[in-house]
Amino acid sequence: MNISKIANLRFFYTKTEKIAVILSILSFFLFCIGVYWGLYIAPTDYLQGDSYRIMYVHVPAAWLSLQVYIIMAFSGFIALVWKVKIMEIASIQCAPIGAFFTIIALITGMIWGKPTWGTYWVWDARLTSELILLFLYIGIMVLYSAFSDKRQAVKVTSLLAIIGIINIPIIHYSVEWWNTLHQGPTVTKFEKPSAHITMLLPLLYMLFTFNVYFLTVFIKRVRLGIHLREKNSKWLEEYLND
Amino acid sequence: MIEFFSMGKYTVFVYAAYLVSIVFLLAGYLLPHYELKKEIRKKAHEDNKK
Repeated sequence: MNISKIANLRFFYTKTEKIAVILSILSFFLFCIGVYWGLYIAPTDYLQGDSYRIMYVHVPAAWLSLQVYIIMAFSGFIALVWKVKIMEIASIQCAPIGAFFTIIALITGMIWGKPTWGTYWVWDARLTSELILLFLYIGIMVLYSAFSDKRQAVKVTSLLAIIGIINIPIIHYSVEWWNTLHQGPTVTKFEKPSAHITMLLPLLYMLFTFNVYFLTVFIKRVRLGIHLREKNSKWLEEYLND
Repeated sequence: MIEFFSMGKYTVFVYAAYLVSIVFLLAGYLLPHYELKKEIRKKAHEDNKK
């Protein structure tokens, strides 16, 4: 199967309906297992007690918030340069998904911060740059909805997404570049991970689960985007009538 | 059973974080799902009118 076939709007819309259903069921079961693992099987931390269990939803959400932004900017770049329709749709549909992951990362981080730091919020480099990421996502969605010509809108939002990518390394390295209250990297220290394997495994599992969830929602959102763009086309009418 | 769910002074924080995550993940999934269904219904209605 070649890429140009997948990039075809009709092909994507008609072939991914069942895939989305299968991925939805898979995401649900993976998430249930992950929650059980994180809440009840993973051992209690000697220093943070049980509050560290929040990281099983916080860390994957924070990682996905960055990952989705990179995907959004990358597909925006392709849409801008090569004018690939499906990339235009993919780019803009990434924004609400990324915004939801950022909100989860921020709220769960605040909840974790209260018993650990004694406060819900500090204007720390990591927290502030993550909040800017949320504003970027919201800005892109607002900008897109402000245009009546959606193809023109995508050009502007893609440009904003590409410019905004400067925030991604700032978020990632903020804990190393500045003296922040937020703790340093735990998982990405591959040569010497600071988390025990019994705590690290459920985290990596949840990271995988969140990626499966992202893929599910991404397919659903791209299908919605295709529907909105192609609602007057003959092939969509024929497909829906079948 | 209650002991199983208890995490001492962190119980409220841990469950609140998981609850918030579930609510937003569910919303992120259901919003495009129902929006697409609504659009399909709308299109079917328009096609019937023609």
